[in-house]
Amino acid sequence: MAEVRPDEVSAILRKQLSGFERDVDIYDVGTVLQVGDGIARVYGLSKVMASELVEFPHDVFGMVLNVEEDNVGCVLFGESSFVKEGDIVKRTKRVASMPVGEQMLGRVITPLGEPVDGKGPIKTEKYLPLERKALGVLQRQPVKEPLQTGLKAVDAMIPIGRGQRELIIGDRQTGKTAVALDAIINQKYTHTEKAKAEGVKPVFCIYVAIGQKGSTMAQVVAKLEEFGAMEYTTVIQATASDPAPLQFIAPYAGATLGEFFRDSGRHALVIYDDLSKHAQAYRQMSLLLRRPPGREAYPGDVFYLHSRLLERASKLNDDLGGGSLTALPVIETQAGDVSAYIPTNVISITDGQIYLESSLFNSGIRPAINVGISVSRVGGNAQIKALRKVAGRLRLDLAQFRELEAFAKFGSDLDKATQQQLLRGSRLVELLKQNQYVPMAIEKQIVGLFAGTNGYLDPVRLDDVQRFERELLEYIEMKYPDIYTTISGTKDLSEQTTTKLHDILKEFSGKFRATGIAS
Amino acid sequence: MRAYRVARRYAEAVLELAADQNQGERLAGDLELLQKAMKESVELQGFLKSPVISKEKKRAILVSLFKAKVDVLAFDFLNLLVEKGREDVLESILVEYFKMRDDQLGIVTLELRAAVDMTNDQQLAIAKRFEGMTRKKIRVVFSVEKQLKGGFVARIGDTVYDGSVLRQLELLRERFAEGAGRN
Repeated sequence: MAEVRPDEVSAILRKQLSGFERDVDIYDVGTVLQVGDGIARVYGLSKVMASELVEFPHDVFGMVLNVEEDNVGCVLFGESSFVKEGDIVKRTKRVASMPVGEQMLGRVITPLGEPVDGKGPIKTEKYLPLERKALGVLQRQPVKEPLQTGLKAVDAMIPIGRGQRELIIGDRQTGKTAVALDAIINQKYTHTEKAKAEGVKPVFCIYVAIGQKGSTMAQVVAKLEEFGAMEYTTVIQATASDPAPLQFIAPYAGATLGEFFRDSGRHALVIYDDLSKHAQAYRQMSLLLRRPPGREAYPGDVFYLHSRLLERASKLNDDLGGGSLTALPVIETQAGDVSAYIPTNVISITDGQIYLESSLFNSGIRPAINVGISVSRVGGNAQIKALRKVAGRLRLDLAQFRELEAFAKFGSDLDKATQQQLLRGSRLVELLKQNQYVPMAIEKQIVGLFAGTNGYLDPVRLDDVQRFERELLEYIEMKYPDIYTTISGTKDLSEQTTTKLHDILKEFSGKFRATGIAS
Repeated sequence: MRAYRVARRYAEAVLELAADQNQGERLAGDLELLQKAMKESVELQGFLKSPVISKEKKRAILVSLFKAKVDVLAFDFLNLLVEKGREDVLESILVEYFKMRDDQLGIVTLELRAAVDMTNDQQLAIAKRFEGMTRKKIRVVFSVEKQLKGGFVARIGDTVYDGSVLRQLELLRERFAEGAGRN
């Protein structure tokens, strides 16, 4: 950026000085009556609007939330220790809004758009209000394109489409953030030329961290940078040390930025991690504003808090550009209680949920997704044909396996059919395990699942299943790479491809048994 | 803070009654006297606020203090307050009363602060300008505030018309801070 020349500065100064007598600044004011706990009560401000931004001394901003008979209740977006009784509060005449633009990609910002990554200020052209009404029915169209998370368990059986809301719910330390991060990292592919050739449009990601530890945030950003995901991602953070009002508006900031991409015909993915802390921050604010508490001390409109946020995720119709905003909210349950207040609220709002269970996690099944009770209400519409063909069998096999799992302990006392189902099921469960940060491309997932559902894993030892998959995929990469390109190009499994796959698998199985230990 | 709501109701009641009885001016005069007395005597304020003095005693003392000095309406109002147990809110009631009285008469208070002293003519000139804008009578409350460095600040109600040098300097500072940030 060009240096500001010394004479330029004085020229500006001269211009300002000459305009002195003519410029009169007109603003509306109020006086602080009471301040504390991040809330300020102001007398005056008679013309203020609800949700308007107001300015306190020392550059502290606040938002008007309660307009009462004799005072106005504001929440402070900064240190309330700078504000004293008797301070003058000015209206800014603008409703809470944030700067939006492509310049936000690759940056870590606060919900008000200020950068906190030390990479310099961000200059954008547009400001969009944080609270916007969601689109109506006419502007939308049904979800039909897949959003690939790169996780086999999710993409096969709980597929997510672009424009859908899918809840990630589970206890602490079950891998919720990991699922979200893998989804972000997997979008790197959508920004390549290869994806463009296949007709896959790029997805821009927004990760909203609400009430998280600063150290966790640092790790997340580091991981995203390591995998090159920061190029197309914005991180909006309101950490645990930020005041509750900032944590309250953080998800809305994420939605606003996502809508910017959506409305310009592009696709965005926004992750709200997590909404439980968001509800707690809102509860804190409401109680301090003396709004009446309801169930579990949450205010009466806590449902509306989340519903208006999640309704903004949608798929636009082609007249408006065909863009989409996909939302992956995260909810943390306590001791697996999904019937608590906030979890049930959000479950009823979203188009499906991914359940992560501690017991699965502890027994080594990671991602710890309980496929039986996880659901995606968009389902097959968001899957490419090829995957749909393979996944149908998969769901069935796993469901039968789960039913019989209890009998597995009887071992050889069971009939042949049951034993076969147990064998198949355990192989499939093993196949679905995946390490963190290695999201898998869709064509590879299909090949792996094809092998599993067609019984090629049955003769393999349980411990060798992962190695079988890995070596199979490498084998095909080396000898028959056109299989991958055919699948990802046509998005289907033709008769021809199916036959070819069977041949390849027979060939590989022969080779594998030779190198592995006999089962 | 909570006194406003209560105070406003009492003030409104007595103001309207006075208007009905055509005693508006007389009442205003009496209440001004009352306000002056309250300002000058700390004991009077304490007396009114005290919860230990009985109603009868309060009434008796008020009789001896004010009965001869104010008109029937104002005195009855005082008695009403004692009966309702709201004599401790009298200060706020008087404030609200005068606010409403101003509204009734179409008077608006203009708080004028300037860096240097202004002559009466200068103040009237400004008041006249605002009279044109607000279509109300202007009562000027003037004070000198050296901090403004130059120019003046006029405040009507909640709206501030800030033509001070201090404000211009603040705006300049903001503009430069923005520009510097960009580098």
